[in-house]
Order: sequence, then structure tokens, then C-alpha cells
Amino acid sequence: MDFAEFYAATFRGLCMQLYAYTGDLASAQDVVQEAFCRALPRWSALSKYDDPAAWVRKVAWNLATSRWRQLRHLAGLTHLPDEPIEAPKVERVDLMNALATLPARQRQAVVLHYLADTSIAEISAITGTSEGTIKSWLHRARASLADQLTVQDGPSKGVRDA
Amino acid sequence: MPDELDPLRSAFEQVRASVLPSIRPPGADRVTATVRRRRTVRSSVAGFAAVLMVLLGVWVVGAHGDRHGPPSTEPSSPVPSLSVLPSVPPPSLSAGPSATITAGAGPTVTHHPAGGAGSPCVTDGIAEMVSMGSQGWQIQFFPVQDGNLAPCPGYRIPVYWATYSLKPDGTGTLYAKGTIYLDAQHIRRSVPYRAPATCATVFIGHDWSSTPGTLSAYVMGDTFQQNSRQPFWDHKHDLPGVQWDRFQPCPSPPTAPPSRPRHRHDPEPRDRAPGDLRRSSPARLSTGTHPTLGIGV
Repeated sequence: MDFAEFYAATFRGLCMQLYAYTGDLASAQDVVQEAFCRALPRWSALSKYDDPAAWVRKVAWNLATSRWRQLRHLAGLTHLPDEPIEAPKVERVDLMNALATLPARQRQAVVLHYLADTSIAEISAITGTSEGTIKSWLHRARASLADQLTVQDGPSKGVRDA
Repeated sequence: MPDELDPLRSAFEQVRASVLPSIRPPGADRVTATVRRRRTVRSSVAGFAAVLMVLLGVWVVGAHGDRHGPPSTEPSSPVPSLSVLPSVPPPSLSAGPSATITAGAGPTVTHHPAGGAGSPCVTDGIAEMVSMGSQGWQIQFFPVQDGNLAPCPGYRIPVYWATYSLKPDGTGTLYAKGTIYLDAQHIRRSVPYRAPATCATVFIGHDWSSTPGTLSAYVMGDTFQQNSRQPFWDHKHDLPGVQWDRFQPCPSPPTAPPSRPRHRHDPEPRDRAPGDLRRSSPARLSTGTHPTLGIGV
């Protein structure tokens, strides 16, 4: 697989995951594109990996975390006006708002599990945490998300961990 | 819990379905272009830094390694209007106390590789007159901070000298002038005798590159004593210079008060500058003709 094919096959999925993690689609696209820019000079080595997308996702995730920290620092120094953006759909807002309330590591586990279709074992390897801990995080995250979506949307649209 | 029973699964699928169409990948070509542009910028910056370092190195070498101009004694140029001055050789004189003049800002000690294996040297010092005689006088480099240190290679001190003929009204007229340089290879230099025969005085001071043609009222002290010297102040560097008296004693003014040889550390009014050595009573020098020798550093 050459780099262009790899890019075309993985960009959207990675962007979706980063969007779920950051809650900002434009920022997610930026960090994923930057991650691909860093992957290209190393492509001769990355292409031999079993899952080159994991490397790009990891880089994008780190970039998003760093950017979020920088923005948080800047926000403490200045009061930047909110940029007008197109209003998203209601369910998207609800889920994203609920995701934003999760601790970062729980949110990461949820995103990897539901959007990257990553198994518990793979999440464990990615995060460097035991599988039992990952299961615990996912359980708590599900409960928290279900509660919040129920509160926001009412019992009829609630999502509960059965 | 099976995935098909997980209500979050469907929620994420809905979000995915709504978000994915709005994601527009910039394209792999943009990635390639970005990487290529960064490489270009990085190479340009590295090249510019390399050129800058080379230029800086050339500048440093040029500034510290090529200051050895022709440091030989510049031939003095007699002033034509002084051709009537007596040409009788002066009597031999013993060396007087040293006169010191700084040649720059505060002294700096450095370790210069050219002076040995990191041997210390100084990049500033003073010019000191160490002897006088009928054949001329000698001026030696003297580092203020440490008298044992030599000037660093490339560092040199210009020493401007000038001789003046003193007239009965107390004014001085330029007789001859010249420039010598003190550096690591020439820490002591002789200045040939180029001065009127009688009643001469040596000045030492700063910034005499534009040696004045006349002195409105030459400062000779309370009495004109052979081999005595009198300090004055260098305004530019806020340091004292020294004026040397030599040759035949000049006639003292009739009204001159009892003499008191001035000590080298005697303070001198700070409102005098080299080349403007005025006195409040020039009439004291109104008798006789007083050829004057001056040195400026």
C-alpha cells in the first residue's frame, strides 16, 4: 500500500475518532492532517507496520491533547470570542456533549471502542493499561453517557447500559 | 453486553453517519506539498545559519586577527611656520616619572589562543611614557588590570603625539606631530625627538587624533620646571593625562608665586580638555619663547 492509498483509506475514520475525542471537527481534521504529514517522511518504515494507522492515530491524539492544553492555557490569558459554526444535529450534540464530560482516558477508551472498532485487548495495548481497567472504564463511561443522554433527551430517547 | 444490544453503538453510528460526509480530506498531495515545503524551509534556514556563522567567523577573525597595520612610527611633520624656531639640541634629560593614558574603555583580560595555550592577555590598557632623553622618548604598553599581561594579538593602541612651540603670550603653536602604535609585537616604541630646543613640554592625553594647531594658553604650571610634569584631565575617558616639561627651563614670569612641584596625583580641574589647556593666568607665561613638545594618546 502506498501512502496515498493509506491516506485515502484511513483519513476519515481517524478524523471521526479525533472529532469524538476533541469535540471539534476542524481541529480534528487539522491534527489528523498534521499526523499524516509526520508519517510521510517515515512512510518507508511505517508501511511495514501491521497497523500504520495506529501510529498516525497516536500522533494525532497526542497533537490534539497538546493543542487542547495550549488552548486551555491561552483561554486563561485571553477571552477569545466563539467562532460561529453551523449548528449540528441534536443527537450529535447530545453525544458529543456527553462525551466531553467523561475523563480523558474513559473518553479515549469509548472512542477507540465505538468509533475505531478496537477490541479491549487492542485498547489495552494502545493505552498501556490492563484489560480489566479498560473494561472498568468502558462500564463507567457507558453508565455516565446513558445518564446524561437520558437527562438531556428524556426517558424515551435514553440510552442505558443493559 | 453484545454489541447489537448496546444502545451506545447505534448512537455512535448515527454520529458517524452524520459527521463523515462533512469530512473532506485535504488529500495526500497536500501532505506531500507540506512536507516538501517544510524541507525547503528547513534547508533554507540551515543554509542561512551556516552562511551567518561563516560571516560571523570572518568578522571575528578580521576584527581580532588583522589589526596589525603598519605600526611603525609615523614621520613627524614639522609645521612650516615654525621654521624660525631654534634648532639647538636640548640638554640630555633623565627620565621622569611615568605618565599613563588609557587607550579605551575598561581593561579586559581574555585568554587568546594565539598568545600560547590559552595564555591570558588584555584587550585594553594604557600607554605609558617610560623614559625621555635627547634622542626622544619611549612609550610602553601597560595593562591596567594586570601589569604582567601583554596585549592580545590584534589589539593595538594608537598613540598620537605633537610638539608645540610656546610663544610669549602663552599660546602654543604646533611644531610637529605623529602617530605610533603599541601592540603585542611592539609593547614599547621610541618616539624620535622632534621638538623645539628649549622650554618644551610633553603632553599625554586622549583622543588627539585631531591635534590642534594652536594652544590658546599653554598650561605650564606655576613654574616651568625641567622634567616636571603636570596632570590634566581627559574628558573623553574621564582619566588623567600628563604633560611633561623638559628642555631648558623657561623664564618664569616676574609675578610667579613660589613654585610647588605638582604631584602626579594632584587633581586637575575637570573643565579642561586636551587641546584646550587654558589657564586663568596666561600672563605668567608672557616672557620668553617657549618651544613646547606635546604627546597625545
